[in-house]
Amino acid sequence: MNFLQYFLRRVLLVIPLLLGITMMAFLIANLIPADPIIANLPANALNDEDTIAAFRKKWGLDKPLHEQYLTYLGNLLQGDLGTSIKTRKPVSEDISHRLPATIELATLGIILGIFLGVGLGLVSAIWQDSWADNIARVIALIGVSFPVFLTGLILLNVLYVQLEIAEGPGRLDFIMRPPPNVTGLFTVDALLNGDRETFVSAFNHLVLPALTLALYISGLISRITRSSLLEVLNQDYMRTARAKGLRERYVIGFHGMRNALIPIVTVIGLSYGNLLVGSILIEQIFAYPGIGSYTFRASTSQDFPAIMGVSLLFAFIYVGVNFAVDILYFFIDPRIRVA
Amino acid sequence: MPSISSISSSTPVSASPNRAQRARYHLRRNPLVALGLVIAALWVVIAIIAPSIAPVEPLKQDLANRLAAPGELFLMGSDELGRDIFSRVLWGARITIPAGLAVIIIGSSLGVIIGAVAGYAGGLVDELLMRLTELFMAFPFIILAMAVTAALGPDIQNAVIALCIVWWPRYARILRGLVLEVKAQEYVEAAHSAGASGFYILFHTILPNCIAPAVILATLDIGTALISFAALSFIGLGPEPASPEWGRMVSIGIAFFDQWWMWLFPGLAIASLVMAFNFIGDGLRDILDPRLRGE
Repeated sequence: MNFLQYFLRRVLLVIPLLLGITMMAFLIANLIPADPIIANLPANALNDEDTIAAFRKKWGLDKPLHEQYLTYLGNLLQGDLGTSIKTRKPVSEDISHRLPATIELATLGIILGIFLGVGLGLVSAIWQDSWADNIARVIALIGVSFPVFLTGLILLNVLYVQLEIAEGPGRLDFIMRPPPNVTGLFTVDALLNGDRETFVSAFNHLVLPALTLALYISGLISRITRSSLLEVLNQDYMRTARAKGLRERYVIGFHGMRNALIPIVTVIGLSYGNLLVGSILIEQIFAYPGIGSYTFRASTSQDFPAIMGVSLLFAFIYVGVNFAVDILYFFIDPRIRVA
Repeated sequence: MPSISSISSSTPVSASPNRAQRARYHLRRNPLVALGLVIAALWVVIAIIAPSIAPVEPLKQDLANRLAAPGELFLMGSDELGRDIFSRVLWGARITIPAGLAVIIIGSSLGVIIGAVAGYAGGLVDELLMRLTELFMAFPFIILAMAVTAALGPDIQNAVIALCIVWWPRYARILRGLVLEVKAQEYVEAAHSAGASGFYILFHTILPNCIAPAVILATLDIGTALISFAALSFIGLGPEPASPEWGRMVSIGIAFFDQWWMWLFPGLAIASLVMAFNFIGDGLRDILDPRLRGE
């Protein structure tokens, strides 16, 4: 199978999934609230006949359910996710405003988490049952066992309040102004603007929340790295590689890791599923103005359009990441090309 | 966890005459399992006897002694209404442990049944159920939980229902794969030719042969269920605010960040319980999967 065939086949599998997600979001939005009008409009608009009529018309509420879904899908394709009750702005605008903050945090957290996780897993597998293995495993277990909100609070208390070696809540020092908006990522925008001071402040504020996320993710990754590498290490081809006189570093790095990579990459893809929960909890603790704190506020104020908008966003991100993982398989595992 | 599904085929089902001896051997090789068992058992005992060992009623307020630091009066300090945190932490075990176990038992059973039916029926039923499974995996669990609580209102029971709804897909996937494997075995064909009904074959011939991996996965999963329940109640989708539930206590404690005892002790309670179950689960996997033993 060549790459194009493989790619198209994956795309064909993803499309019905995306449609299914929109259908599920639509059903939740329409079946769960007793009255979609009460759920989607602010309280003071409920006396206004014109607003209600306009809302009915826009979402086709006087039509049968399947036509309502098509209207919903049409609005969705134009990027219309409805209007937030709380902020009174289009949900898509709120999201585009807050998403960069979360992307910045998640990217740093995931990169840190992968390095930490794969590193710990490698140590554990290579020196199995040694003291190094035990220490690495206990670190991994603490990572997955401590609720992220507790890890975050402890890091904040120890490193920021007690030792004063890390920056605390927020995205910047409160006397600083955000850099001119280009990407919305403060670190990147500050660099583009050549503003070193803002960059340092933005980066320092990212460290603690990103570390919290990384500790959690690394626990998952190091456990799977250890077990899948251990499985590979006992294989005949590893003995062959050693018998050929290859250096140990090469044996582990190229013959071992390459074969252990599939489950590791899978877990990294799946861990994106936890990203929304993680960002809700972490952003809550670090007063970080991203999508997570937006969702939290939407949830506590029953802001239904906002909740549904964010859920679609994260379901799409999850599908997108796992699509990318599927594509990666093609390059990691040559057997797929033959199948 | 891809290594789970391999356990069924690679585990020798030898009925060793000296099981106790082997158990002792494994416990000595995996001291963390023993530690996990002790901590988990301790928490279960605490949950049972909390009413008689807690020094104070968990809801009793002592407004004269609000936000007291840990000391003689309050072992773990007191909260913003002067309630004894130590007593509340002990009582919390009575909420979290049953909730976590309920999620595991109901959620995994649901997944086992759906996966088994999909794998056994095949064809269109299989296709539909598996697409549904993928859908539930892709949809953020927290949103489903929010939707459930929006519809039913936030309380412990609804948090458990919400988690059960999102818990089954992984079990369904694994069970489907196992059922497909077992379905091809000769003894299933034998049952067919003996005239057994489809229902009988699925539940009496096939399921008993693929239930073990689901049970192991469920054990590994207890920690995750406990932590997810705590996360839900942390963001207010669980029990009511006054309840001595650990996640809830931590989230209220954030407003009193400098009174660290308000969030640290309930947080550590969750962590220690989850860690105990993870120690057990991890060790169990090592013991049961001989390929990981490195012998």
